[in-house]
Amino acid sequence: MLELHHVDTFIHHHRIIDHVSFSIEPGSIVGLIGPNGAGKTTIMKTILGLTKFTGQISIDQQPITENDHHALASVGALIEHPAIYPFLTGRQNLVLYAHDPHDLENLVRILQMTNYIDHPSKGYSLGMKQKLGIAIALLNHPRLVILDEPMNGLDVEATICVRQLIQHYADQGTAFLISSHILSELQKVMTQVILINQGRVIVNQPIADFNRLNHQDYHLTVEDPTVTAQLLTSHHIPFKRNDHQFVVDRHTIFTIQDLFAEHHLYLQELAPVETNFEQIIVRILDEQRRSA
Amino acid sequence: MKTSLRTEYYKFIHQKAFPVSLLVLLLLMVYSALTAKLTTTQIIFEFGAVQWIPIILIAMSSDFFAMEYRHHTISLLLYKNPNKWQIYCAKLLIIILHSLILSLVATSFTVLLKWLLAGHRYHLLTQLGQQTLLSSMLANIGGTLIYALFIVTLGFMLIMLLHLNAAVIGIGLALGFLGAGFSVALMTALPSLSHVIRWNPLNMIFVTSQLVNPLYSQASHLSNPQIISGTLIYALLFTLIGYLLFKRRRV
Repeated sequence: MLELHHVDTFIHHHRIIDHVSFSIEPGSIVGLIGPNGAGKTTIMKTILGLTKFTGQISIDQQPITENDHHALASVGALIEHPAIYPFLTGRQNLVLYAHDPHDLENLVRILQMTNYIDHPSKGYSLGMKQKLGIAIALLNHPRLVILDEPMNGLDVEATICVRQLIQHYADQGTAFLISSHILSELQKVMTQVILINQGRVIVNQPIADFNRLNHQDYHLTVEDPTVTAQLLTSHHIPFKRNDHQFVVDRHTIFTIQDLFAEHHLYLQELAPVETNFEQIIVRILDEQRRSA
Repeated sequence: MKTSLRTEYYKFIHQKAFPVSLLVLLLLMVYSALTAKLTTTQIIFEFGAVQWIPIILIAMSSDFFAMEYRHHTISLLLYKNPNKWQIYCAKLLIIILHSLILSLVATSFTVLLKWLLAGHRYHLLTQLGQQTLLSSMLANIGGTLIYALFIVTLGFMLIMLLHLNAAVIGIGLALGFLGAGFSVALMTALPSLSHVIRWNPLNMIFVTSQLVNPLYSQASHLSNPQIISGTLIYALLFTLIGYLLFKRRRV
């Protein structure tokens, strides 16, 4: 539904976004990840037609330009700060954009804003404003929702609530593009990961492929560790051993399975070593910096 | 456009500035009524409302745009609207509508103040030269409404140019109190260039007074059709420049 083709964004003659191309399908939850200043917010603003750009951006084949936002009719967004008028109550802020009062009430209820929604929003805490900003973005069942750091200022309960809400909307076909520094939260919901650095897309993969390719090591549990150790040593396959359990490189697991079959050894377990998502991201960024 | 107008109207009437602007206008009119002798000129000029309305409008127009940047709502406003022209137009129309409301309130309050201070004296249908008191009042408020277009579009343009509400209000006050005097002084100092200088924007403020009193055209050096056209052309020019600045402004 959302497609970016060779998008470049310049701010004060500096290239902030460099030839970015990607697409987002209905119902997918795309995590936009990158270090500070990588261009995450600029990409989001560019999609929303808020900056000058070259290349093509379209939603359902309808182009978006800096001065033609017709294609954004069914897009909700929360960028940088919740867009809230302090002289209006929370409800009035929602009424400004709501097409359906039932939808409005539903969001107020799910996001647990009932107690304060009729109070002037100038007295809201950061978390309350953030929830209101998310509710504005989700109004009218948008087809695409862009959320920049949606978990900012939210407590644990609200974070869980927002995560479940995102999942619920995605199940109904809404696509999400979410940036967050809280990678563990993103990891729980995202179906696709886009990693950017210095305005360029470094990784754009379904999360399953990303996890598979970036799990470098595998756990290997066997019945006969002594024979296994001898076999691996004799075939020059590096390993680390901990009693019955071995840790081997991802690239050697097919060779190991062939060898085991040949020598009638049986595996009890073969599984990727749990790797911290954040560590993987840091490693990829380091590799990219070294190769640049 | 209907949706943009609806949302802008909703925001406008919920801002404190809306009732405050009406209250300030009424208080200033009461102040003028109590501090100056009651004359037909006081009534025709609606107890100073003709002067106060443009000043109130320039402050409101600049703030109506500035608040979108102040509250970080401009991004939402921009992507929710099909194009920037629609946003600019909707905001402009709402403030112009407010100038109508202010004028209507000023006229009604003038009638009330006149009745309270002078009873049945200065009857609205009293003949003043070729016009009645009422028609003079209406002509004057007509001039104010034409000048309101000038001042509102100027306010929008200046806030896009200066990004500072206080500066725009300062310029508005300077225009309201010193603009006409400066323009006249300039034409008096340079009589050979008065045929050019008379078209300067400061001179357009005379539209608020010379539609009733033709003597003012001697000060402005412009006929009624000329000053009306000049004011409207400036309003159009300010709209175009303001819109281009808005279009180019980064968020």
